[in-house]
Amino acid sequence: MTDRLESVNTIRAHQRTWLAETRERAESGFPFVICTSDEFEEILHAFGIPVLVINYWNFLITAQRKVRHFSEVLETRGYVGPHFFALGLASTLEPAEAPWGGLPKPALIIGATRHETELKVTETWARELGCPYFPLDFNFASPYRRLPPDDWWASIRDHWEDLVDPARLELRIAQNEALISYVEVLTGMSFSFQQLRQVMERVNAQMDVMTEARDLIAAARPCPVTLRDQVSAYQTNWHRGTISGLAHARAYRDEIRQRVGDGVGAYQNERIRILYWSMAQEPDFHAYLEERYGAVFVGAPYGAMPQTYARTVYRDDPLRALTARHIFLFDMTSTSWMLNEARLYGVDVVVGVEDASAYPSRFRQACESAGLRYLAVPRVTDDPEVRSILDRFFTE
Amino acid sequence: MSALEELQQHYRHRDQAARAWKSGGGRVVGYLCDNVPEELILAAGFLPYRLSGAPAFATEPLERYVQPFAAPFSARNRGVGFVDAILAMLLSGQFDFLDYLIVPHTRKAIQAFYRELTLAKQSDASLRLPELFYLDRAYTPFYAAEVFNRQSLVELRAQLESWSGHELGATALADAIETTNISRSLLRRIAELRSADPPRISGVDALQMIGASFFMDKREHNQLLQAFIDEAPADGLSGRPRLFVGGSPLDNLSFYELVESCGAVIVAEDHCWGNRCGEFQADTSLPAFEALADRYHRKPACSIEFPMARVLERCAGRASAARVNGAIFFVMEGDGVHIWDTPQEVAALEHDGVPCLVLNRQPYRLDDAEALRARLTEFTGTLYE
Repeated sequence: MTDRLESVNTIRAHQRTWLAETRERAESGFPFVICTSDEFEEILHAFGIPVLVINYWNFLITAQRKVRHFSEVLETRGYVGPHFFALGLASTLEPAEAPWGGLPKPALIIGATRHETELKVTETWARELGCPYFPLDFNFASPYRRLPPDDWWASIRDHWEDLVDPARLELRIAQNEALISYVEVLTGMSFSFQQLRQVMERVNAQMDVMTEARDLIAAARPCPVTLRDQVSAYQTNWHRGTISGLAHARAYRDEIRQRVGDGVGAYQNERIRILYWSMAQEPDFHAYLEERYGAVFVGAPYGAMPQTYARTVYRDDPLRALTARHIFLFDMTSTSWMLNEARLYGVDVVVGVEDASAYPSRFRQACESAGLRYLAVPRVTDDPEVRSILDRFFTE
Repeated sequence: MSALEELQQHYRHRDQAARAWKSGGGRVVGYLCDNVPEELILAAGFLPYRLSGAPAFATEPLERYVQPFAAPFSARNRGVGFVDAILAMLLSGQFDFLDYLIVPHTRKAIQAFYRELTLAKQSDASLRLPELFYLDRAYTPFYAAEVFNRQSLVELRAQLESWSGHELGATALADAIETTNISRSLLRRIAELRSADPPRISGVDALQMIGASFFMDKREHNQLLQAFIDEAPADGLSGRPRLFVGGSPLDNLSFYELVESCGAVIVAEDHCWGNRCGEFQADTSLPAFEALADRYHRKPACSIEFPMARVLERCAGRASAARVNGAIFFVMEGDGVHIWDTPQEVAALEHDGVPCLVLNRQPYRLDDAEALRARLTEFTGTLYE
């Protein structure tokens, strides 16, 4: 495996620096907010208020292999699993083991309704920390009232209004406006339309840059960026629409372009190209696959997602475009989206994480219909049972 | 057959009345959870029918039709047994007497029914599934949410009018509200008989009387309840510890039978198949439709409610009103609502001096009833002291 990209190391270092600075500012009285992903970050960026995305923090705890510790913190308080969404809460209940020195006390926690658990966890969190709480209705992951077509991804940037429920959109706009007013009163800061307009412009620019990066990675042979670096680079998304977020994205794209020009391959032994179609962490068995079969992960949904964040702003109303994204960002169950990515990357195999089943999943059916091999693994750990599944598949 | 026996029969044979209604030329509107306004369905001339699961039912159809894509972005949030059972039963034709199905915006796994059933039908046109309607609802208690929730009912009313082919009149709606308000007041009377000292109804009998109201004609159910109340035994179930049950919804008798076989009596509970069904009377001082819109907004979907303090307050209030000696919380594996409510509810009850037993990660089907019985016997034993 090649060295990590310098731009990715910068992104990773920036996360630590950002948190340290945020903690320092919060301790001196500057507001800091916690919310779940894809809910309210751009608005807080427009305010200039630092925001920690819960899902990102939970993945960081997972990457630092502290899930067991923080699950025990929750268990001892009577909260049985599954714990993933509450790992951040646990890290503030007993912060000694929290990543990077832990989180400062927030001025506000924004409540999520992506799942009933999230509403409960975020409210419990606010009560535990003694900070205000503001819940919002609906979210990007529950478009069940108006089902998106399978090819939603092809039209979402410009035709987003067709993909969201009108009544939900109006409600959520009202709730976002109410929350903006609440933050203004809470912090004494004023919200700026011009700031939001610029944030949305930068979001679109940043997402275009990240999509260019994806296109460079997908087209290059050999693959120039490891899955590990691709996932790490995604951290820029938690600062989307900020000046630093856009700068980091550009540096990442430029470094990839350089690598492609130099013909640098990320892996030592690339013979079989795999698309990893899961939001779970990079599989622990990746090293085994490369060493044993020359099979490497060249892409994942993290490369495809930036294009789903971009929204064309109509009628000078950035809040409407942003709010529509709050209630529909992407639908991971689209098989045409997966196939499009598989074609872009030119992969031989798609790997998904699925429960064992006697019936083929829609992903398997779609891949096999398209002449692609599909491998379902039950989990991402590197253990004898998973290895036997891998061995069977790659020796067939 | 006594009134109680008739009610028990409707509880055991849950499709009996619906199939009879259907064979008489009527149409049946199914719905999920406990906050779909039955009054609108009744007023439109349909039989409302609340779907429930069956612990013994195999979930094989889920594997066949439901996307197995794993967490964290699964279309279906797996793990709550009663939800899986209902979906599997729908996919396997157990509810083939339903003409329509209202899917409410409650738990995520319930919301997902709309998508799962739509996709299943697309993949297998031979599947016999009811026509679907998604009944939206905001969780928050604020003004903007109230306006949104009212509009959701306007859309439901329009859908029912379309299905029935006639306008849903104010008189029919007022009649339906009167019927359901009577039902709720009778169910509250049942709750009083349960919480009497000594209790005059067992938890097992009460659960059947309450549950039957969702599986049969509401007016007939009211008559049977009234008859039962009129002839209710004067002597009670004395000498037994009085228990409260909290946690996940219990749509079958297994757990109640197990608890009461250990010598206790369940005098109250806090789940959506129990005493809660008698709460939230529609306000008849309002115009009929507005009374329903008001109730729909005030009544939480499941225990998904903000602020959580209201959930805790109601739970503690229900236990306190029944003067219980102890409480058991039965939390099913993967129940994302009650995993988070229960520790705080337990703290509130213990603060009030009520000993609690928490049964976490419980399966929907009680496969190891004997192990559970040992824990229950030990707990109820301490309550005699």
